[in-house]
Amino acid sequence: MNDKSAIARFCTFCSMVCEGDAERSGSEMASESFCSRRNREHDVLQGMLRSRGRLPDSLEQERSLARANSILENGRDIFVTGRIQSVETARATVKFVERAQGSLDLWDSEAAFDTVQAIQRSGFYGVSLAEARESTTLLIIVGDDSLLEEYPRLPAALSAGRSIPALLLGSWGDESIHAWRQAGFDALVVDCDVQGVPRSLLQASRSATSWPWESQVGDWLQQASFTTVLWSNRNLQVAHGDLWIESMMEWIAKRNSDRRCAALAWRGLDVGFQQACTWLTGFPGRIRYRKGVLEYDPTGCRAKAWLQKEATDRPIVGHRRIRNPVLVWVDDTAGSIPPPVLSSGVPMIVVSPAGLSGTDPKTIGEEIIWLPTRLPGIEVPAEFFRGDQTLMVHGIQGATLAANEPEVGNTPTMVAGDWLRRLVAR
Amino acid sequence: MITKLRGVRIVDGFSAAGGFSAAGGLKTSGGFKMADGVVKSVENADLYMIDGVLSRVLPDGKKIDAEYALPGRTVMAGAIDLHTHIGGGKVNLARLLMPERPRATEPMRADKPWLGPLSCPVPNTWETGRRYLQMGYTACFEPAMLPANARQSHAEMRDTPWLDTGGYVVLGNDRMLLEWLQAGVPQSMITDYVAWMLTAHAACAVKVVNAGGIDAFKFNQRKLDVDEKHLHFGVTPRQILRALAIAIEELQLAHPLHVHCSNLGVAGNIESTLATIDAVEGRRLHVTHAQYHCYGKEGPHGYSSAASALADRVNRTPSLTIDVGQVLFGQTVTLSADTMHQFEHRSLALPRKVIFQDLECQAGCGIVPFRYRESQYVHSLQWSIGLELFLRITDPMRVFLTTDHPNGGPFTGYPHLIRLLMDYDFRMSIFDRLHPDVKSTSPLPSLRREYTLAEIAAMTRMGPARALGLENRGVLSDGAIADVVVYRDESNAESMFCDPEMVFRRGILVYRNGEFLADSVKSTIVAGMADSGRGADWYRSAANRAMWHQRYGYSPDMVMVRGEELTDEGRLIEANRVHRLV
Repeated sequence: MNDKSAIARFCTFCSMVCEGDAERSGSEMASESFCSRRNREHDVLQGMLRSRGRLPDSLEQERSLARANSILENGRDIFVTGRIQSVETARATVKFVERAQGSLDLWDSEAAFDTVQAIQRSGFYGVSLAEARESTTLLIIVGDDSLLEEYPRLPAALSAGRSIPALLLGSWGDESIHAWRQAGFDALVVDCDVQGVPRSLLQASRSATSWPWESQVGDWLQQASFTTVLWSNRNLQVAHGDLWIESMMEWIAKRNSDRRCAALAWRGLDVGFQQACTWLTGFPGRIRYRKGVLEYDPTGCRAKAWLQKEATDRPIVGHRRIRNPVLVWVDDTAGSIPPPVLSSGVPMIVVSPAGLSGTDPKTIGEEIIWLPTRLPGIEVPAEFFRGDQTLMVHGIQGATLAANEPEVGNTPTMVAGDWLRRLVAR
Repeated sequence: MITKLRGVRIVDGFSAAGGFSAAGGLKTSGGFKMADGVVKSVENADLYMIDGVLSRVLPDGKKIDAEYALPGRTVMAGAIDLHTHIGGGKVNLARLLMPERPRATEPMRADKPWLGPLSCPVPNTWETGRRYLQMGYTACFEPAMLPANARQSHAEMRDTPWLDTGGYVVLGNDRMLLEWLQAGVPQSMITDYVAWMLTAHAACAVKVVNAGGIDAFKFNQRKLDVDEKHLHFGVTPRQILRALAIAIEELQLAHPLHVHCSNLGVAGNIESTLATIDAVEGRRLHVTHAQYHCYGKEGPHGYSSAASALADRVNRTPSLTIDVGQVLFGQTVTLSADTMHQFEHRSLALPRKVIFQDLECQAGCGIVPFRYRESQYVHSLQWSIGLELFLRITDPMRVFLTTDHPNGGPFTGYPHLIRLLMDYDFRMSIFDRLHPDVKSTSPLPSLRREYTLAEIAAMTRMGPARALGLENRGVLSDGAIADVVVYRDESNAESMFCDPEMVFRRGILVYRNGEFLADSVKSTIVAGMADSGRGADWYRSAANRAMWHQRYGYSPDMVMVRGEELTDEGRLIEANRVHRLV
């Protein structure tokens, strides 16, 4: 079964894990099946040009490792964050955090934890992508144009080649509406405040007369045997996202009493981290190890809160001598490090492909050490989850792509896990 | 590396073919004697582990590297759990759903703190491996591996230390199969498809969950009996079961079709369970978590035990095996691909939260936290039905000890369950606490059978090994894999089985008196279709690949689990091992 036709490549840029044969042309990777609209391939390959256009050689990397270990040995408050997406990096990160007796929270985990907390309080009714594609008789899409900016291939992935009524609730521009219609959906747009959508749906289920929207919406809801409600956590502009999800689940649960209904809550690639962290520790993140005991603290153990505290406290109490905070940034993307992280003034170890592109560490005032890695799913095979958390794919099969192969070829092939295993703490 | 265990009592399983009495083995001063006269327990014996393989004798000229004098200790092969939910989408969702530490049902033991309660009814992978090894288990099988979740299931099992693992791929609600059955395609096409699904998902067996029912629920059908038609596809569970059973027969898989019957937990479901057994027309069959599938409708609450009917059928049908899915009192979380029936039980959730998922046109997932209570009639009845099955089925090689972890209770309850089976007085002491209507109607007090150690070895070692076609496991015979457990002899079977003195994996001492001494090689057990010639053609067919792509939106390549994915940090995974029916 290893004939040539079996070789395929899966796009690991936006969590749709689309499939296609990509070709490289100069510094660009092209495939009609990939999310080329956003030119993210271009960004990624540019990112791979590394910091200041050069990848440190082996000797420099070993020196960096020694310095990183020196910082960690003195560190007393080690916080690990970043953009961890592949299962391999997640495994290595969790093991490192345990060894370092540190804390762990993904960067920008707020939206993901809205879902987590809603699930842990009251549960969830979900549907996977292929199931939604085949079973849905009414698709309700909640959000705005940012959904398709983030996941441009979502309408095509949900299209089953038949006309399906699609109700777009929120703020939708012509381009988005066109995209859904082009994919075969009979789209009806209701411009409304997304925050109030669950309440309106619940009211409507209690009394038909309280329906706030057009009558066709009510007809569609009456006729639909399998309703799928689609939203993306990261693109949902609502206050108290966890409560919003719980309200939506209340409506979905009620609807299931006499017909079928489920949510397709699309997540980013960071679901890979959440899944792996859950099977390794029992918790989806926001964990800390204290004296060998694992603690789960979904409200307290937050990377942004930790950084804010460090930035606020440091000039006042000079606590570095007491706590010796160290930030370890682990990244599976080619993106740059967010400014709040760079400006926190905390000694930082960066384990990432892109390093500090566009940033001069001397201006930061604290030591920042970069341990460069290959880009999972692009330069090295890696395992990722599709954004619905159902399908785990072995990203990139066949030949690997690298924009600057000659340069990379002179340095060790390191992935994040390799560095994390070599990092030692007290 | 040669290790000698000196002066031990070797307790091995045995075959009851030829008529083993319901009263159990005849206990003799020299060990445990079968009805056919074959003594399978040997006192004061020596056992050698030579480079990971067992031998009863030391070859000439060989030097012993390590020797343990263990007079009076009982030695068994590593135990095998053939039905335990330890990896995959719904298992991980259950972990996510239950972050709270459950109320401990038993106090911590100050002398053995490592035997405390689980952190969660569905523990993380490391805790799962650790706690299984601490009970002497060395191989566990995830019985419900959805095709779309197979890679994740293997990844989780790869992260579960010390255990050999395998998975059963879930078929029978996949729309491709349903469409083919609707279209009446030749059986050979279905058999090839099954072969490919086994290969592609690195599975070692096929499981069917509520045949057709999970998919019917997606079309809002709330019930599907064995001869009832799926409203959309027009096929019946009987057709699905028959087609899959034939495929397994044609592929000569060691493990028969592993069936979660229709009507899980429904009063009166014994009829559909017996109809399910009939549906495969005499072919081999494994009925899983049978306790949940043998209920009558009689009694004060319209819910009664039909264990005797199922046990009679098992006793009369040599081609039939079951695992029990015993209920143990306390907090747990139930999880199943059977969304149709889990959804019916959603109002029983405790704590009050549930997860349901409709998955990839292949199956579903329903997670309902549950607390089994002695004072509750149905829970008490379920507890007694499970024990009835154990005690009424005469051949311990065909009834396996499971709680359907975590559905009936966490796997850490196995030592307690073993004591229930081995100690009539203890069993009755729990029985006395049950709901009065169960106490007044249950035949359990009249079942005075007490399992022997040899029978326990049969139902937890040799029986599951044979059912899975693992010829060199589950026994302590020459040439078997040296997964060996050393137990202290204790009058309390629960104490004995919850805390072995030593556990060896491949001849290496990995656990001793609460301490984990070494990691061990892990293996993944797969069906190994390569030499059958089946499956590859299915994959090569452009029409099949196109159909797959049309149904799922991606090619079969995306889900194919390759051998190299089953290795971890250089540890050898014995992939593609062929285990066939002997």
